Amino acid sequence: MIEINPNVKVKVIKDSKFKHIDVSFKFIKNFKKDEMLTDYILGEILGEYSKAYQTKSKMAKRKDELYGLNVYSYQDILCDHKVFNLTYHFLNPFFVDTKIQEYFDFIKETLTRPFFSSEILDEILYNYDLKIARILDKPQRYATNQLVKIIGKDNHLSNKDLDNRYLIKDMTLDKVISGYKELMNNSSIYIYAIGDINEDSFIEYFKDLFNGVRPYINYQPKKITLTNQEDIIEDKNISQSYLKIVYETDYSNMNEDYYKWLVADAMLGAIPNSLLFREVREKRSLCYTISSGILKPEGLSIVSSAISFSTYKEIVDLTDKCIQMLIEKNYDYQELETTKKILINSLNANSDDARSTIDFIHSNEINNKNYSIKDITGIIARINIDDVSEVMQTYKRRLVYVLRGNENAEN
Amino acid sequence: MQRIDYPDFKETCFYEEMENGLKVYVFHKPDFKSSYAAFGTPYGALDIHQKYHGKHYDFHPGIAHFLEHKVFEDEDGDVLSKFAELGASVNAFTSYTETVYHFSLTGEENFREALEMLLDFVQKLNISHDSIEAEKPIIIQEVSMYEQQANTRLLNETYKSLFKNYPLINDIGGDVKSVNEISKDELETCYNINYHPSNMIVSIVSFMDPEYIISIIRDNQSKKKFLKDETATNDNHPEAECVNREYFEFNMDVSTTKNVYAIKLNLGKLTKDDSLLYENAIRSYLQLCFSNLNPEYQKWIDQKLITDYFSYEVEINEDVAYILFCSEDNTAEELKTFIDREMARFEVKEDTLKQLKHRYIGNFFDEFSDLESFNITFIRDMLDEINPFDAYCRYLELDTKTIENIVKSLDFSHFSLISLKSA
Repeated sequence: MIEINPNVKVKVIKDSKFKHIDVSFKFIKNFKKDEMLTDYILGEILGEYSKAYQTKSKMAKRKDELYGLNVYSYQDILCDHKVFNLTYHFLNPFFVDTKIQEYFDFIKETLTRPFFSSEILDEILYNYDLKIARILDKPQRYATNQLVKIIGKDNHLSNKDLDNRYLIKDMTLDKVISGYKELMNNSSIYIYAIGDINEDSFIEYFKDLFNGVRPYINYQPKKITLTNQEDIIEDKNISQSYLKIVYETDYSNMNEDYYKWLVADAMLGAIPNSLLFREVREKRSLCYTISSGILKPEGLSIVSSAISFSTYKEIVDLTDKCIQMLIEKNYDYQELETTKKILINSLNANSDDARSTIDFIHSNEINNKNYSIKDITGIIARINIDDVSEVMQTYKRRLVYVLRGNENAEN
Repeated sequence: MQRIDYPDFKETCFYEEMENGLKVYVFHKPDFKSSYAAFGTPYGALDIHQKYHGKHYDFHPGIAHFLEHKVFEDEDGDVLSKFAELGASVNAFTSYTETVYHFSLTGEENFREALEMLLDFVQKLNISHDSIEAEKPIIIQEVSMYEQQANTRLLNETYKSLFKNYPLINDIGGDVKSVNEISKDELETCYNINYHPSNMIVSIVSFMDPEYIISIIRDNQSKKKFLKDETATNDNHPEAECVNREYFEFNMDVSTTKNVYAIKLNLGKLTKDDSLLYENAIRSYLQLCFSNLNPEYQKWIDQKLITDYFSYEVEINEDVAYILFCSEDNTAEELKTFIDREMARFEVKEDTLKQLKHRYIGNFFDEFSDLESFNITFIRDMLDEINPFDAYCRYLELDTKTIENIVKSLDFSHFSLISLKSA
């Protein structure tokens, strides 16, 4: 990475195999719960409204002149910090009748001269209300969000609660404009460009975009400690039930042995032919889908499944049993080799995807690491059954949450 | 082996038809590290009434999907595990019109083995009565999972409103009753009728030498015997011109009402080319009228006539043709009034059509951003007998007059209104 200004870094990855060019801005800032909605609104405005293109039709016309340029925005919550991502995705001018300068101009215009108005704000807020309602209408998403609320009750995990509609009534244009200034002036900024792009001309063009001094902000993983809770059953008028099982572990992504955890949890439930898949679905036909996934900075593993309510205790017992099998090394060791191969395959495929390439480099940067893909695949290849057993011994079941569907409909 | 260059896209495809009729396409991507292989049949959830050697067959809804689950089974063990041992990720899907099995793998090691495994497991069906019975609860769970998604249910009810007989009225996975009634004999019959290599396609995107890849397939296929066979055809029950239900309302646990205005078009038996032309023309018209390309669009948003949920879909094929409009937070009648009024007064203009074509070009190139997705889209198009590169050129030839003429010729008198209300 090249530091073009204090705490503004750039990385250009020249790779002509991609037909598109991606320019990604990552702003790392301190997380404030009451800014969640502001940041969402900024994501809807940046790249969509600017002083030169103040209406949807004007912006659409310009983007179409640039052959359907797209702007994507999303937010990542990392403990007490947030990464605001803004990516410009456009066709390599080689294929059409445009010039790279036009795209750079567009990026500069929309990033540095956004257009704010109360009409735009009202429209975004109206759609936000409907959008969150729609998301939470989906039983799976509802179950996940409820779990976040429950286990995040006394810690930073509550930051991931996606329902911020309570902030709508107090939202003002001034808050949005302040939020924009905060983003541009008080974040650590990482800029990535990938595609058939010249590094010198890119840096030359963008080096003055973020003048001034910015703070160094980076997130610190924070493990979460939970206590054992009774099973929580919540009723909803749906026909199928959803199960979530929460395990606390001694690992996180800053832990030296993080990759041991990655492999062990993959064996449990994060790959297509995992132990949970075989024991719960294939052998006993208890579900269509079951998987595990880790919350890296918090050190949690969450098992999820869509089920019939009557079987939930059996599935919880089976999950504990699978963990015990891994502790006791009671499985075909070929399965460990298979798991590692799948993870290695997935890592090696990163460089075939522009955004995965950016994410990998960025992950190294914010975790203060300098791993290559080969380094990581080497670490994974060396993980053995004792490592897996050691990881699994730290799994402590803390909570079972079931979103219970309508029993009659299930029958 | 034939080489086909697409210089405008910097793409090269190699093609060969095997002796048994299997068609193989290989896109050479020497700068990438992964390979993506797909093996598909144009047999999907719609194909439940078939004619084969003069005999009519009625299969249970969901059988194509059930078959897809069972093709993954092998006498030597689970196919999923075997691919995993090679470091390959394998998956499959069934749509209304095709079933596709596919894997991805990085590096050269194990590619040959994985490709042969794909060919072998799809070209062999080994199932037992017990395994079929064990699969039923899993599939029923899967069907239940989709059924309780509001958008899926809304679409299913829309199809049931439009059609009385056409198999779109069935969910891809079937329903609890149909899944429970599927038997070993029925699965085997279905398989034998629909999985002949002459109907099927292999599509591969890889950095590896195309000649080498095609030689693997050639060798593999030469060791197998497939009798030359007739292709099964669809033998659907006749579908009336009018809709099945003019209005349908149902409840689910949702926050806002969602509505569909669905129009059944009776276009007669269209050729593939004409179907594509009509679909392109109608879709373009809708994109021009109901998007930010229309200066009225912002007004509609300000008046809350539409939200960001608003959408439309067009399907024109040899059997059926329909247009769907979806909205939320109003009534189905209001949606219909809005659509009819705006379409009646909208005119297609040259400059906005040009703008739309630019957008289309960008979107088409975007397919290449994700090679796995590109491979799947490609094989689906080819199974539908549409070469996407040819379709691209044909789209760019569209003119305003053709679009206007086609849309003006449409009859909107057969329609359904469907409303999903909060429980």
